[in-house]
Amino acid sequence: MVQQPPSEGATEAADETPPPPPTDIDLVIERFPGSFVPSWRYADQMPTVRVLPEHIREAISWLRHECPARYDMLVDVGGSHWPDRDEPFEVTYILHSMTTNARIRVKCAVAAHGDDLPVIPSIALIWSAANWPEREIYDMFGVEFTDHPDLRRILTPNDWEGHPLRKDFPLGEEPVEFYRSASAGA
Amino acid sequence: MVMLEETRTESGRMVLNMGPQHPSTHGVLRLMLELEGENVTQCIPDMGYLHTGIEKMSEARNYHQALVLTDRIDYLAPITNNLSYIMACEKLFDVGDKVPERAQVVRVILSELTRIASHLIWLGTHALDLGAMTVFMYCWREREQILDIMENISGVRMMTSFMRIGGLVADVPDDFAGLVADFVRVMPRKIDEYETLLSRNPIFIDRTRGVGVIARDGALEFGFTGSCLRASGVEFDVRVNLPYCGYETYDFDVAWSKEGDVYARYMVRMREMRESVRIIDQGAKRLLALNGAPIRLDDPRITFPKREKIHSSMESLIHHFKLVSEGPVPLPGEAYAAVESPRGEQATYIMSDGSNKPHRVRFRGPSFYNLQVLQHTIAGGLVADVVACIGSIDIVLGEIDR
Repeated sequence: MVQQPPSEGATEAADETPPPPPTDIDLVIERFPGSFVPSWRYADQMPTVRVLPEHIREAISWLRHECPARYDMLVDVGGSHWPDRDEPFEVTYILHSMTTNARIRVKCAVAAHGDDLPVIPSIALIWSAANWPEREIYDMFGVEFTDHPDLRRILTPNDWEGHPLRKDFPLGEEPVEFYRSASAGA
Repeated sequence: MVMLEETRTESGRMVLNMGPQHPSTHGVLRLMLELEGENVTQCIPDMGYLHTGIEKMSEARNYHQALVLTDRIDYLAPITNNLSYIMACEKLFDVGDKVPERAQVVRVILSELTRIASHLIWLGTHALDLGAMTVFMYCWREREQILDIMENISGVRMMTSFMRIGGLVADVPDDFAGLVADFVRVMPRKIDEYETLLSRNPIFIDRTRGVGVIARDGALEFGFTGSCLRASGVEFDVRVNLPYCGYETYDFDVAWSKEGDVYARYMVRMREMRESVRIIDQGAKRLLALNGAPIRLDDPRITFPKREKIHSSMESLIHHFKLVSEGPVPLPGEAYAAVESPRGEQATYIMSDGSNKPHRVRFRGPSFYNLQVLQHTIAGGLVADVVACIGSIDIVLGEIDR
């Protein structure tokens, strides 16, 4: 089959189309220096941006009150631990906009702090929904949230030692070993 | 956990410990209430009694194995937990849009059956808390019918683990359609029956109307989802706003209300049960047209080979062995998948580092967020309203503590 060169009209039309309007991700990157889209596979196609920890409170507040889409629902705040990375802790915020029905994921990498707990500003004072999830991250990963109104352990007892979801915290399971059972004989 | 050292505060107020073993806290929730006479001045919830480390355990299992743990998170709605986990895995393996239609229809029917079963437990215990014993017995009767259907398809009444990545573990038996049709025929009249007992009952109305009011702004501030959010005047339902499993092709209405009190949450859930019956009815009709269609995706990365092939072909045996011993391996990446569970947005967030075990699995339990509002609504109310509030938020402690 002979490939047809695109007709002139089509190219002109393509040239005339205005550049797409900036997405909320673009706006965040423009507004908060140091933020970028991480090169990582987001299999759920949710737009994702990483901001610096010192900007997280302003960024969430901006997305909620000033961003055109008004992300007015805080869906989830979760933590994760990546021991091999330079900044081993990550806090993920997922926001939902009732006006545009869109979601955005904001990530924050938190650097280790020697023997002290890594520190990130809390957003619980500007959004009460983050109160318990941040306590959970503090409990499970040992990330300290500054200015949190009530930073206590939430799921484990107060005298619990260590942070269970860190990768260096042992699971406490006995590994399954294959052995000859008595019923199998020999 | 906070220990009670004094039974009276300096101001002479009494500190009352409610739970963890208390029938009205719906599980092992402990509340510390500061009382001035009959009025609650402060409430501090204390959770974690049911913390089982499901997220940590999931990190030590491969993608097929962690499924059975998800049943135990929200133990009143195991199917929706399965579904959100499976959907996150499917997104991670890039097969989310390739699941056969018959599997999707069965998933929808089972999700809605679970929603009704869970709402029936909520209704029964909520009414029991408020002094209506009969409703509890009636609700258990209909829930039994749903559990019989679950037993019929999977052999298990509650922890079915019926979903698999890419479809279902097995096809539904031939009499499934008949059982579902029976249920759809019976259920609307039963809901009428509950409503005659409660909706215009003056005692029930006095105990619920204007109690535990949460306005629209408060609901969004505290991260409400599900029936509680809709009762506060926000029309948000994951099934409509972010449809999954083909929910956008079903004809149903989203029940919502503006009042935001305990009675509004009751009415929203009652209407939701009726809508669920409608969805099940539509699903059952579609299922008849899809008789004999595949129920599981055929993708060698994820799906086990057929049993007959394992017996006859060496390659299939090796394939089966690899999938069982090593498990499926996705590309590095992450995926968040949300479903509308009976309590709200139940989501699973899986991060993969490219190995056969998930690097991090997070379960977003809707009750965890919904319960946060409790200490703000019941402060200033009466002790008797505390049980009405807890009941109407419909918490499951397994999901809060995970």
